[in-house]
Amino acid sequence: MPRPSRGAAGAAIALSGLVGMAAQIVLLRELMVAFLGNELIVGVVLANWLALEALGSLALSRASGRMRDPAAAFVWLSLIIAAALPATVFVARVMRQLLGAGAGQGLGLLHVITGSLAVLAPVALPHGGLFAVSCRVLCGGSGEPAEAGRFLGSAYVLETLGTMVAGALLTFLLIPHLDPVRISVWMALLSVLPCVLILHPLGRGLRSRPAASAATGVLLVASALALAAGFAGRLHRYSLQLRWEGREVVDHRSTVHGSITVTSSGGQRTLHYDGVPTVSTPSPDAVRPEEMVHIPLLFHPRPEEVLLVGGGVEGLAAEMLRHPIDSADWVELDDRLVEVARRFLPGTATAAMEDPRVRFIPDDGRHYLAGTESRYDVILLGISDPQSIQPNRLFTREFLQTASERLAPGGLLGLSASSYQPYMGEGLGRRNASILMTLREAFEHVRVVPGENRAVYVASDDAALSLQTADSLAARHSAREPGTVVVTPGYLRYLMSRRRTDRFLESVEGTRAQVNTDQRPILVFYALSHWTALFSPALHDGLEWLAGARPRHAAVLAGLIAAVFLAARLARRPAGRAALPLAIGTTGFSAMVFDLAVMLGFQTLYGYLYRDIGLLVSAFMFGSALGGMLMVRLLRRGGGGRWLFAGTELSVAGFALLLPPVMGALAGGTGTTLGGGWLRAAFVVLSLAGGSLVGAQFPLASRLHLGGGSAPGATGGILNAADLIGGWCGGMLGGVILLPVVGLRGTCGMVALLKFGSLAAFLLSRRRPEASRPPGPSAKSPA
Amino acid sequence: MISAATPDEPAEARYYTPLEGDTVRCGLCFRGCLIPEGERGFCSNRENRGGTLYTLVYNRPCALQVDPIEKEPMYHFLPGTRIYCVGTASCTFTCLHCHNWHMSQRTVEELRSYHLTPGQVVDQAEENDCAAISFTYNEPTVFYEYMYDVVLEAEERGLRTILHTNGSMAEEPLRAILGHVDGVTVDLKAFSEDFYDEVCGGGELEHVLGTLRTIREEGVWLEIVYLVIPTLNDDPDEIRAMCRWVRDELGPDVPVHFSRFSPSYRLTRLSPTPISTLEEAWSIAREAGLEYVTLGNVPGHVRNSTFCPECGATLIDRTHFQVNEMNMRDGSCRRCGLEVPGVWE
Repeated sequence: MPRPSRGAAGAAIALSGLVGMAAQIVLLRELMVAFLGNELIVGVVLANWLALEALGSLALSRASGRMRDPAAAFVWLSLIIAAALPATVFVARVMRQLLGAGAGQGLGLLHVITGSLAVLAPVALPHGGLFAVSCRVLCGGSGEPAEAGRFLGSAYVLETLGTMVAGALLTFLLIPHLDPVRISVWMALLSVLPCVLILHPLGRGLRSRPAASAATGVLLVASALALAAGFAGRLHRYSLQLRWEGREVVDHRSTVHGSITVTSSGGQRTLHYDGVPTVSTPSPDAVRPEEMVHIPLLFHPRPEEVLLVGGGVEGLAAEMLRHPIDSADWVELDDRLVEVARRFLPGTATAAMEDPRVRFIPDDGRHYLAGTESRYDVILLGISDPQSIQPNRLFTREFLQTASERLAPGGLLGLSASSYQPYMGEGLGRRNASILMTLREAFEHVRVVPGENRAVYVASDDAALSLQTADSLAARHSAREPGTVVVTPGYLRYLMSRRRTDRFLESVEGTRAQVNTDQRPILVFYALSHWTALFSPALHDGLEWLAGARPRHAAVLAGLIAAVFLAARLARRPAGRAALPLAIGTTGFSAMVFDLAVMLGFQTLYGYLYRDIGLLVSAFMFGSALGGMLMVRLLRRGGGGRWLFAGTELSVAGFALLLPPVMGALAGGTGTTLGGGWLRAAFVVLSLAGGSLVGAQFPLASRLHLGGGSAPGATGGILNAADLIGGWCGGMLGGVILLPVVGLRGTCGMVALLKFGSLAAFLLSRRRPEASRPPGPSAKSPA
Repeated sequence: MISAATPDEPAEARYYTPLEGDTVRCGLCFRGCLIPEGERGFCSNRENRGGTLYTLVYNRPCALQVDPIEKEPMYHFLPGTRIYCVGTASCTFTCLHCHNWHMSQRTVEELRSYHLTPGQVVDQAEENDCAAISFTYNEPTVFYEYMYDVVLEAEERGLRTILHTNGSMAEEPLRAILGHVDGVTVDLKAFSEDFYDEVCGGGELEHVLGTLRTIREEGVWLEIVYLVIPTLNDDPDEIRAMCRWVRDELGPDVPVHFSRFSPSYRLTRLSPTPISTLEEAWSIAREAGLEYVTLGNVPGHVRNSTFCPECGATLIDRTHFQVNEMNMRDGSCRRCGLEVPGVWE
């Protein structure tokens, strides 16, 4: 069989990394809409992707050793991905019908798990297998451990670089300009291209692998035609129509923050953000915006300068202008949302945007408030019920303290949270309790008005707040005549009755809750727990059980790991073989937690700035690639051994211990020099450092594992799978449970303990004599 | 005054039949659950202990609230007054769009309950100046015994009672309680068996229609609320058939409220009902000859008010749950004198 050149194989691996990451992003975004996504769904989808990749990697790690023509296997796997990707985007769009979910019904966690597995499998499984096969392609038949180790390291580096490029490419170029179906067809094309490289030199490849060559040709032509003839665009529109069964899709667009769809039915237009109906015209919901805006504004004797953060399109901007205010700053994260609303839902945002009193500021609310010199009489938070870390940053103690500093004397802040006055169960009770406690830490005085389906909180450092009564608010209402239909003097008296407020406080204060902070965003967990109670009561108990995890449990786990390896050593059993995958697995776990923690820290300090977040993720991946490259060089010079590996283990643990104090110091430094380049650079350095520590381990582990007598494909597959499984656990536990519940310090402590456990296991594992096979003939024959 | 629930001795249930062995058949709702020893019925509020059926929610309400009566909705019954609302855990249906799922889709053990005897419920209602006690939020059938005893106590002390039901109660207990209550709001969830089966978790339209007939026969004040859900029960033909049935079987003067759906519980993906759909339903109902048709959950809409079917005058001007003005005298239209059915004093 003709063998591909190393250059071709390398380029193919980099491209496969690129396609894999792009597929992951596109499918995640589609599934978010199908399942009305939140942080938990992101976690499940990403975790399933990693698990499937691991499975594919493991399955082919063994098979690759016996393959006579790994290059052909690479081609076939790439072709499967190319054919499957556009099809899976389509399936994701008709997912609800396939799962038999009735119209309009949200889907539970079991549906999310099974549905996302079905959508991701056709792409993620072969993509996982591709890594094992590409290791074999790159190494040829080389069985010489040092050389093969270097090749495996190179494969890891190349794939990571491809992944990095994909992130930037999608964020800045493809998502804003192309629909998801077209992106998936472009990716199919990019998946076929490496096949051409692999089959090179063309003549020989064609002759020796006619079926693969023919299939490559067919897919190449088909995807190019689909793009050129507009078929992909038609498929996009057709599948959108299927997704929104019974409703006409007026507009659909993707932004870096999410996807926006406008549907029309019965003379009513509805704007959906990530699938969630957000506002309808011509008759939007009046209760929510009226309660959220007028109650806080009426608590203030004369609001002149008002700030609205989010929710403007949902009617809040229009409502605040009903008061005789002098000026209003309206901050919105996704300005495309406002653009779409103005264009397709007249009446929602147009009037507010054209009001001379309004200054529209497209920015992250936290970022804006941290830097502004303005002082406000009233700050209104227009979003409620944060289900992910990003919006939760507006509900933490630290943010609320900043907000209180941006208030003019006598100023107040208003926000709201879902509630249900007749019966506040544990789910809603705990969320409201946490908000109340957090507000009380940031402000001297807090009032709550139990509305119809939400509680409206008003907080201030001015004692005048606690003197207000339903009558005083009613009097202001009569004087200002805001022309409301829901919040009327009578309604205010009903909501603010002593009995109603007491009953609310009684049911909220009866629950056990914690303060929501930057380093422990507990509200996110409460929201997700509430969501599982709604959709998957059976899984709800499991989630609550997992939330009981504490650092001491990690200590016990680490101790157990060490004990097992000690016992194996004493009994002279070969449990030691598992030490390297264990180390890589726990490092994969750590990497995911580091990545999440650094992003959490950055977001809370600087705001959700998409480009910066992209930069951080890229820095982490670049660090990972850099670490890998440096290690490969070291290996090439004959370096690298068990003690070095133990050193990398220790440094990962050390990084985990250093991260919280370093981030704490960075947070402390922002007060004075916010926006200072050096602080941002510090985050980039943190990402780079975390990534490179993690990345350096893979080539070295490969080298040691190969030294144990494994074939390159098997080693690549097993270690890759271990890395992915670790990442899977980190993604599932880290973002959803550990960081929100245990907090940054506790989570990093757990990571360090786990790494100490895997280090102990590694040290206790028996060193095997290096295999002394003669290098295979192919080792010397790079094409 | 109101204390948390204590582990009460559960009260023996009414309307059940002992069968062979220790199995019993519950006769409270249309389901007629066959309950073996140690098990519970569909609603999980009724448990068979050694062949005796017990209710687990007697004296154990979890929701106690003072609300405007318009919120039920009940528009022809002491407008502008306050009602004392009582609810417990669980339900006979499992509607995907339940607004009260926090209580209705939970067992009594999963909720925090109060301990309140029937006498204390009436005390509370009086202390809060309520014109009536309402059994609402979840399906009152599942706390029938408790409700029944509260109703008797209230009747004795001259306080009115109303209930908000999905119409799933069995005929015998229904007739028994109708002898004592003053008004009923029935949720007519759709006019198709399929909807009841698929969206409400195995409900039966035919049984609900029977309940409506029985309430009318017993002469108790009745109002119907129909929540219009896009794509699920908003077909004009279905609404027309429903309106004609109400006109023919119950009479044209039964108030019918069309409410606007907004995403809740598990139906989180649907848009709110278009106003045009609600207005069309209103027109269909009026064309079918129904006299008192209103729209709900649309604050500020003119059809939220009640109009005289004879002269078109605004009888009760409402915004949301608030009564702004009443143009009635002694239960009749102030302008044309038409007698308007309802409970006015």
